[in-house]
Amino acid sequence: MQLEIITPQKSLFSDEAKLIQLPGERGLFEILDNHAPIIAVLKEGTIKVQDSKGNLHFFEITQGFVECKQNKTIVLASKAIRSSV
Amino acid sequence: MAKLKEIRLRIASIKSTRQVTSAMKMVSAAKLKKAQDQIFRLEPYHNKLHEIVGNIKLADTDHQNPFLVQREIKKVLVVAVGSNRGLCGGFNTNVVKKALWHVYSSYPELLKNGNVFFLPISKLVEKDLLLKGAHTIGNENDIAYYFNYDDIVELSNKLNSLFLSNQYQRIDIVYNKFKNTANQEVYIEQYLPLSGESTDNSGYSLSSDFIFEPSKETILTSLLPQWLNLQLYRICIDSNAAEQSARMLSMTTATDNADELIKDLQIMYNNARQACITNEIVEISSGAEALKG
Repeated sequence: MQLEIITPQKSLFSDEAKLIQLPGERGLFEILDNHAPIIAVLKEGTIKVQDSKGNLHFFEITQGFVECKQNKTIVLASKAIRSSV
Repeated sequence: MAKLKEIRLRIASIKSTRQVTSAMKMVSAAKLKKAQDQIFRLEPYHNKLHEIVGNIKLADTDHQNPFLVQREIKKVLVVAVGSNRGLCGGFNTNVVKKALWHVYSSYPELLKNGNVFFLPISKLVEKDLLLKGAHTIGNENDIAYYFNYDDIVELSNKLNSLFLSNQYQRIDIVYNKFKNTANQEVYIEQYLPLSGESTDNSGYSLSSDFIFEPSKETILTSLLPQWLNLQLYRICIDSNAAEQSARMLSMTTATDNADELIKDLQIMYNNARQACITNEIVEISSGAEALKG
C-alpha cells in the first residue's frame, strides 16, 4: 500500500509499505494491505514502518491522525522525526 | 562652483540610498522564496486535514463540539497580523484600516460599548491601533519575527482557551493574503467559532464508510484544536510571504526612483559644469580682447 507521513513543515515518508504499526489512543495497532477505511487518532509514540523491501523505518510523533482508504494511508503528525531505533 | 559641488553631493547620497534599497530588494526576494516554500510544503498536510475534518463533520451531523457552537456575541477579539519591520508600503496600514472598517461595519453596537478588542501580532500594527484609540489586550509581536510553528501553536491554544472560557464569543483574524509577487490582499477570516465555511467540504464526498477509532466525538475533540492551530499557522505564513513581496515591490519602486533621480541630477550636473567652463572661456577671451584693444 502507499504510505505518506506528513507534518505541516515537511513530508517524511512517501513510499510503498507492507506494514505500519501506529500508536493509537487505545494502544498500538497495525495496518496491513487492504485495510478497511479508517480514521484514527494517534497519541505520542513511535510509528514502525516496514517498506516493500522489508526494511524497517521508525518515526517519533507527538500527536496526529491516520487516514486509510483504498490502500492509501496518510499519517498526519503535528510533529515528527525519523529515529534510528 | 558652489552649485556644482551641491549637485555632486546629492548624487553621491542618492547613490548610496539606491544601494541600500536594491540590497533590501534582494534580501526580500530571497526571503520570499523561503516563505513561498513554506506555504508549498504545508499544502498536502492542510488539504488532507481539511478532508478529514469534512468527512467527520459529514458523518457526525449533531456536532455538539464547543468549537462549533455559535453563542450570543458579547465580546469580540480581532487578531491583526502584520510585520515588525517597516519599509513595505501599505502592508501594515492596510491591515489596520481593514480591521477598523470591519469592526465599524460588523459590530457597531459592541464597539459603542467598548466590547471589541484587538490583539496585534506586529509592532507597527499595534502602534497604529493604539494611535487610533482601539482597545488592545497586550500583543504577540515576538511571533512576527520568525513565524515559528511552535510559537503559533502556543498562541492558537491561548486563543482557543479564551474562546472556550467564554471570555470572547467570536474571534476574527485580519491579515494580508499572498496572491502573487505583485499582489497582496487584506482578508478577514472568522477563526472561532468554526464556521461551516472554513470546514466546508463541497469538493469531497464521503467515499466510504470509515471506521472511527476510538469514536467520532473523540476524533473531533482532538482534531478541531489541531485544525485551528493549522489555520493560524497558514494565516501567519501567508502574511509572511505577503510581507516579503510587499517589501520587494516597494524597494523595487524606490530603486527605480533613485535611478531616475540620479539620471536627472547627472544631466543637471553636466549642464552646470558646461556652463561653468563656457563662462571661464568667455572671461579669458574677453580679457585677452581687452588687452589687445
